[in-house]
Parts: sequence; C-alpha cells; structure tokens
Amino acid sequence: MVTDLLYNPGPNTIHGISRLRGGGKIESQREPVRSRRAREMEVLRLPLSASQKGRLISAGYTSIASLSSISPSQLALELKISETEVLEILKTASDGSRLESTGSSRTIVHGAQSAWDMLQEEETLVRITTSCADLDYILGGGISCKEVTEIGGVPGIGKTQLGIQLAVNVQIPSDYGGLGGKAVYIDTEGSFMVERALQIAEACSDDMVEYSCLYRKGSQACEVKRQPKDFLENIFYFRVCSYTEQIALINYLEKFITEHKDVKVVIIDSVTFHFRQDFDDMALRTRLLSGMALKLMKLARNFGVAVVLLNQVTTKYSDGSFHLALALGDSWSHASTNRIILHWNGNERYAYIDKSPSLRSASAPYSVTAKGIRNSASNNKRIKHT
Amino acid sequence: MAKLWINGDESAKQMLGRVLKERPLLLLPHPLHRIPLGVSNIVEIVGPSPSAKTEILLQVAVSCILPKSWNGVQYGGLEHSVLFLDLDCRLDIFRLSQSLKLRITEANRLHKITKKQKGVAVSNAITEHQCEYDDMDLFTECMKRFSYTRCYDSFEFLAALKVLHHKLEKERNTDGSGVHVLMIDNIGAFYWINRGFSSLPQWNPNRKNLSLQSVFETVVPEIKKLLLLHPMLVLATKMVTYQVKSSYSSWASGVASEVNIGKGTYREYMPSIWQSFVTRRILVRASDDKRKLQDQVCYLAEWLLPALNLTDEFVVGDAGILTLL
Amino acid sequence: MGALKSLKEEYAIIDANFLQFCASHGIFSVEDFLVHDVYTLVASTEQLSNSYRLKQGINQLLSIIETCHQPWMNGLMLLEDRKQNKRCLSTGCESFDMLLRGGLHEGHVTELVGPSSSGKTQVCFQAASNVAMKLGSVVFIDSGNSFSPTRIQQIVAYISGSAENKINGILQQAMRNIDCHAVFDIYALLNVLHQLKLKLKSQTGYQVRLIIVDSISSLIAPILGGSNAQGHALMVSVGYLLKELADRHNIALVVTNHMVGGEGGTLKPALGESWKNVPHVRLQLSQDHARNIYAVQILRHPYMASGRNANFMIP
Repeated sequence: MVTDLLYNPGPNTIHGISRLRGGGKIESQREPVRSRRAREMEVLRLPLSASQKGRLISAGYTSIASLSSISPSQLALELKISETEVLEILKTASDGSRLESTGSSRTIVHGAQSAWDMLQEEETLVRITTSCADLDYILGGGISCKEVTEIGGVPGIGKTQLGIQLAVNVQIPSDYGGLGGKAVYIDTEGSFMVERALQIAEACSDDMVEYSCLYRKGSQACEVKRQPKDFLENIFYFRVCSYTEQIALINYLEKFITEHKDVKVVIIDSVTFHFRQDFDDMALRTRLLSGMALKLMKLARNFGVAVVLLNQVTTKYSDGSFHLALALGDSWSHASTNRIILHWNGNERYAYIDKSPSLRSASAPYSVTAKGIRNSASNNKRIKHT
Repeated sequence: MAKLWINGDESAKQMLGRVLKERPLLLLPHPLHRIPLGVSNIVEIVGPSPSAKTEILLQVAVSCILPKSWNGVQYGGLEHSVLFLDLDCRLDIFRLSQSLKLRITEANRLHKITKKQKGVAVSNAITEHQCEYDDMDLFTECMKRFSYTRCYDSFEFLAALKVLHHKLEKERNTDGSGVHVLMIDNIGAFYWINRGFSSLPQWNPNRKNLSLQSVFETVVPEIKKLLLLHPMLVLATKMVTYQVKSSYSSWASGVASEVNIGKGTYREYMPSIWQSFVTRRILVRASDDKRKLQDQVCYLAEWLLPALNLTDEFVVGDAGILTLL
Repeated sequence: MGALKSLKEEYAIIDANFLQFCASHGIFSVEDFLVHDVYTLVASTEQLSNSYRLKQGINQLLSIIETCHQPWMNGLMLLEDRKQNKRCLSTGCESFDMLLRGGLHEGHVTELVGPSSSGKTQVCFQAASNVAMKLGSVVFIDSGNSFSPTRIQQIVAYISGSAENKINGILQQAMRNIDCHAVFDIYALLNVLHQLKLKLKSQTGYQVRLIIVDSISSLIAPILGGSNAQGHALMVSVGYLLKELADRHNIALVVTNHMVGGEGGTLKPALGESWKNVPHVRLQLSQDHARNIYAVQILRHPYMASGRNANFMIP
C-alpha cells in the first residue's frame, strides 16, 4: 500500500522522535534534531529589492548559507542577472551573517555597546550652549550631540532665533568650552535672516573676547577678535521648497557630513512645514515622516551631531483644558529624543521640557535680545521643576 | 445471487444507530452549545481581536480532556484527547491548568454537597489527603491528553500536518483511545507572510507559487485525508479585521466576500478551498454595549453557518465562560 | 529548509535522477515539496522506470520533514517547562509587579503602548536596571537614541538605596550587563535579533534575561501600508521571531508602541490590527500630568482579566 510505504519511517526518524519525546529533564531548548537547517526563509530578511528576492526564492536559495556554496558567475547564470548585481547581493548577505565567523567575545553581537562604556563616553561629551544660563541648566548643559531635540513653539516665540543662536554657538572654539564645529541650517519656510545671523555672530564674538579678557589673563593676551563673517562662513545653508526636496536633502546629508566632518549641528526650520498642507494620502505621509525621523536619528547617532528640529505648535483640547501640542501630533511624537516647548507666560518667554529620557521636567525663562537668546532680565524669574 | 446487491446493506435505522455510535455528537460548552457537533465537522470561530476565541478553545479543551467520571465523582467531560496546533504561538498553558483545576474543585464540591444531601458520611482527614492525591492523579491524566505544538511559519504547519497521521497511528496502537479534537489557533496567522510571498515576482512558471492559495490547497486535502483515517472534530479560530479600504483590492487570490454583521463588516480573506471546507461558523466579538458588569467585558456569539438569528452574551471569568441570560 | 540540491551529499538516495524528477514537477526546495500532494507525486512515479527508487527518495524527504517542525508536547511537559524555566522578572516597581502578579514573564512578549511621554521608556529603563543588577544580562535595542546611561545610573542608585557616588562596584557590574544596540531600520533589527539567536544557540554559557525594543513602532511605521504587502509581512515575521526568542530561550521581551488617532478623536495603539496578535501581554500607560502619577492598564493578558489597572510613580 502506498500509505505503508510513505509512512513507514526510516531508522533515523524513529531515533529522532524517541529522542525528542524522551522523558526526564525538560530541556529549555526544544530544538528539532536537524538544528543546522534554518527553518525560516532567511533571504526574506535581507534588504534586497522584491524582484531580487523573488529570483532567489524561485531558484531555491532560501538561506544565506546556500548562497555561499555557489560561485558568483554560476549564480548569475541561474538567476539571469548581471554578475555585479550578484556580487552586491552576496555582499548584503555576508553583512548579515557576520557573527558566524567571530569568536566568543562577551558582549558583542556586532555593533553593541555596553551601558558602562556609553556612560564613560557620555561624560566626555560637550554640549552646545544656548547662551541662556537658565535654559542650559535645565538642559543639563545645553543641547547634546548624538540626540535629536525638537523645539516647538507658537510663531514669534523665538524658535528661529534659537536656531540661529545654536548655529553660531556651535562654532565657539573648544578652548572657550564649545565644540568648534560647523552648522547645517535647512530652511523650509524662508525664515532665516542673514542680517540677524550677523548680529548674533557679532554679539557672540564680543562675548568671547570679553570672556578671554576676564578669565584668561596672564600668559595669553586678549586674542584677535573673530570676524562675524567667519561665523557665517561656517553655516551651510540649504533652502527647500517641497517635501520631496526635504527628503532628498536629508538622504544626502549623510554623504555631506562624511565629507565635512566638522559639522556638529543640523538645524531644520521647520521640519513639518511641507507636510502639513494638502497631503492627500495620509498613510503615505505617516510613512514618509517616520522614515525621515529614523534617518535623522541615524545621522545623530552615527556622526555624533546634534539634530535640532524646529516645529510649530497647535492647541489641543483634552481632559477639559487646552494645552499646547506639537503639530502632526501623535504620529510624529516619537521622532525626537528630547522635546522642548516654548510658550508665553504672561509677558515672559518660557521653555519647558516636555519629553526627555534623562532630563527632569522643568521650565526656565529666557529672552530674545538684540544679541540673541539671553537670560531673562525680569526680576521674578525662577526655574520651576515640576 | 445477482439480486443480492440490490437488497441494500442496512436499513436507515441501522445506519443511524451505527453512525451515532461511531461518530457521536459532542455536547460542547458555551457558547458552542446551540448546535450539535460531531466528528468531521469543521468549525470556524471567527472574530476580531480581542474576542475570547482562544478562551473558547481552551474551555472546550478542558471539557474534552476531563473524564466523564473518576472515583465516583461526575466531571461531565468527554474523555477525548486534544491536539492543539498553535499558529499564533501565544498560548500560555497556565490558563488551561487553572481552568482545569477550578473545574475539578467545583465538581468535587458539588459531589460533597450531593453526598451530604443523600446522608452519606462526610470524609475525615485521611480520606481528605487521599482525595488530594486523587485530584493530582486526575489532573495529570487530563493534562496528558492535551498535546501541543507551535508552528512559526506555514511550512512548519504543513510539515506538522503531513506527519500527523504517523503520530496518531502510534498513539492508537499504544493507547487505543479513539476520538480526538483538533484545534488550530488562528488559521489566518500566516496570511500576511504568505501574501508577502505571492507579491514577489515569480520567475519560474513551473514552480508553484508559495501563496496562501497554494498552501491551503495542500492543507485542506491533508486534513481531509487525516479525517478519513482518524475521525476528529476540527475547531479553528480565525482573526478578522474590520473592512479596510483599498489595500485589499489589488489582491488577486481568494474570494472577496464580505460578511455584514451588526455595525461592522468583516472581509473574508481565506482561499475559497478553505471556505468551502468549513461546515460550521460562529462569530464572536466584544460587545459595544457600554454597560460593564463589574468592569468585565461582554462578548457576543452568533452562529453564521447555519444562520441562527440568536446572539448569546457571555463573559470570561476565572473559571471559564459564563453565559449571561 | 533549503534547496534539495544541498541534501545531495547527505542522502545517497537523493541523486541526480531524483532531483530531475522533482524539477519536472516544479519542486526545487523542501518548501516546494511541502505544498505538493504526496500521493499525486507517488502516483506519477508509477510510469517511470526507477519508480521504486523515486518512492524511496520521497520517503526520505518525508522523514526529513518530520524533523522540521516543533516536537509535540503534552500539557504536563508544558507546565513543567513553564515552572522550571520561565520565571517572573521584577520590574523594580512594586505596583507594576503586583498588577502583573510577579513582573515580566519570561517567554512572554510584553507590549507597552501609550502616548508620548507616558513613561514607556522610563519603565523600560527601570526594568533593565533591576534585571541587570540582580538577575542577568539585558539587551536594549534603541531606535530613538533614547538610551541614557546617566538615567540608568540614577535608577541603579535609587534601587540600591545608596548615594550615586558610593555605588561604583554595583554600578559597573550592572551597567556592564546592559548591551545597547542602536538600530534605525527594520532590517537592522532583524539582523540583531538573528545574531542574538545564533549566539544563544551556539554559546551555551551566554544567557540573556530581558530584551527591550524601544520603540518597535518607529521601526515598522515607515514600511507599513503601501501598495505591496512587504511591510505587513515583515512586521509579522518580526513578531514571530520575537516570540521564538522569548519561548525557546526563556527571555522576557518588552516592546514599546506609540498611539495614533483613531475614530472619534480617541487614541488607539499604532501598527494596526495585524499587530494585535503578536504580543502576549499588552499594557497601556498614561500619565496624569496634574498629579505626576502614571497609570498602567491591562489591555490583554493570557490569564488575567483586561481592564485591571494600577498607578505607579517613576523615581
């Protein structure tokens, strides 16, 4: 009978089954006997195009190991694609399976860092000052690199001012306690004013001279004042007029920053402007925004730059009261590491930390002066911790 | 001699008697109680998430694995083995063991009460201990009747089905116990993964597309073959979602039929070969009714196939499913 | 499972003739074999000359398939395994633990869902610190640069009850136990998870107690939807991978999800309906801004009623 033949298991199988069903101690790994055979389609998890995946699966190559056993030219013949494409595929595959050849180092799965190492690193990180001592205080020293900080506020509260201030402050040389880096300013609304930037740069260099005269007397005389125009030279300005341009630019930034390694801050003013109006396909918008958010995160982490996103706010009505919430709300809410909201309190400008994994919720006053962002001059200023 | 074949094999009455003995109708707990279900019925429990579908399967499992009676106590079970194929890979055995223990305790309690009513002497401390051991034995026996495996993709599912016959053969030879119940938790679990496959361009016309359609073209005949040799009742849960606008419209396989129930519309996404294989279908969903009994969520159950215009309401408690009247 | 060609060296019966026979039916890999009806195949060998050998080949394939799926276990074995191997990990927050009757369960995928700044990352930090200090190693997969070592330091100090500058030894050991991965797309996540899986399988001494993915929704959101089904397929595959890691290696898995606007202005968890089947336990967090208290509510649990909630504070 066919059934007898078919279901008459060979000696391997019975042995296998009895081993699997064996009583006694339950092992935590209930692995079938042929453990080396990968059960899932490994090819599907590689970042290849759908047609490449289709070809590989059609030809029967479902696991990464199977790809290594065949020569590239033969594979090219079988899949009917060019050899360069095959080499690209093999490289992606080998990137994905790098662990199999590494030794038994303790922590590393490729690319990991232990929290202890990160703590040591963090203690040496320099932050970008905002020129307002109170604001710096609640930020733990300033805007931190390697993180994406979102700053939101109603129009006129000083977001662009803060953006320009940061673009200037990042250039403060390291012997003055700054980063000595360059800035990338991406303008989506056209709110960047060169004259204002010049004004702020001048005030900053005046401050630097004052600082060096006051605190660094002795061996060094007061240094030559740095020209405000030098400051402007170190700000790379990009103007984007549509969301496609914005996404294209962010994709290009990786290459740009690789070439200009001293860029330390990327400011986008304002990040959601082109996504707010006339977007028909909301699902597409969500995808684009979340993709953009991830790319910015990657930029911040891999290149150690501070990414500052300026955003508009709307008012939301919830729990019986109005409160400020950033534009694009919930779907964009996870796009930043830290979030600061700027708001009016009477006649004063306040900055409030809305979201941060490491900073306490607090608010601090600041003011916008001719010199840029400075401490609030009012007498009853106070930093409030909530 | 030549006329013998025309005399017929047996009368209808004899056949009914034989069928009822070989393929008895099972009385399942709520909410599956309204329709008698026998072996070789394929029952689909349909509903959005969350709607207590797995809970229903577990309560049926408890009823199946309990014996009818044990040591004089009536447990009202069916004494069948249960095969549970977990495609969602989400089952926590604790829930099953908790329900089973509560059922055993409850039956013991009722038994004690009836004994008291009949005037039989109440047990003393030694027999109490014995009762506990007996309970443990009973518990162990019942748990052994529950067989479980999980499938992380449709290939493991197919592999499990293809060799299930052999496992059942072996069990029949050793235990001799007959009827089984096959439970599949979330038959639509691999829908998206298989759809991902079928959207990859096919380069070899000879090869079968690894889509949901072709997987089920193998699954259904395998189950049919299994049922021929080992008659079983098949209970499968299926998760459905509310009507989604345009993303399903470009999908080629399967029949895009909609089931209009109450406020929502559910889209049928399983291939037609599976849909025609199903003999009974029941819909469960959480009640929209905001009245919550002590913060508990109410569920509604309604038979779609055959279509009874009745809706049962039930809640899920620690001990199991309680129907609200 | 792989191509049939790779089985050639191991099994003499799977020779060139058998491969040719299979190719004529469009079978190039074990997966293809699974979607074909065995009886039809056997019937088609009848006309051929070497039919007996071909049938033996089919038989061999069937016995290989038997080892390709998870073994059957009965209820008792499952319960034993659960009792011995899958314990509860305390999150370090008492009311949280009490709600979950012990804490995060090994073998479960727990989802924390909530609007922005509702405490999800903080709960993750607390659980990570607690487990790293007392129980074993933790893997933190971070997609939003939100992993903050200084915050972990504060929490470790709080848990051990001493001042921050006096806990150096404990701190160093605890923080060495936490490995942080920064991933910025879904393929990188799959890569990290697969490498972890390989490492757990091959190195017997290596054991992970807790894996946190913060946040999985920001990794899946860019690919979900669209004209093809690749996004959903990847999401469901990630789900299965997480469940496999949790169950087979006795790891507690925590993922965070954000919320999006639903009908009538209410918020609902992101990632849609197909994601609902993935986690074992779903917890919704919210923050009461006025009183600075956080609330957690059970949305789904394998054996506890949904709707149960508790309040907790974050140190």
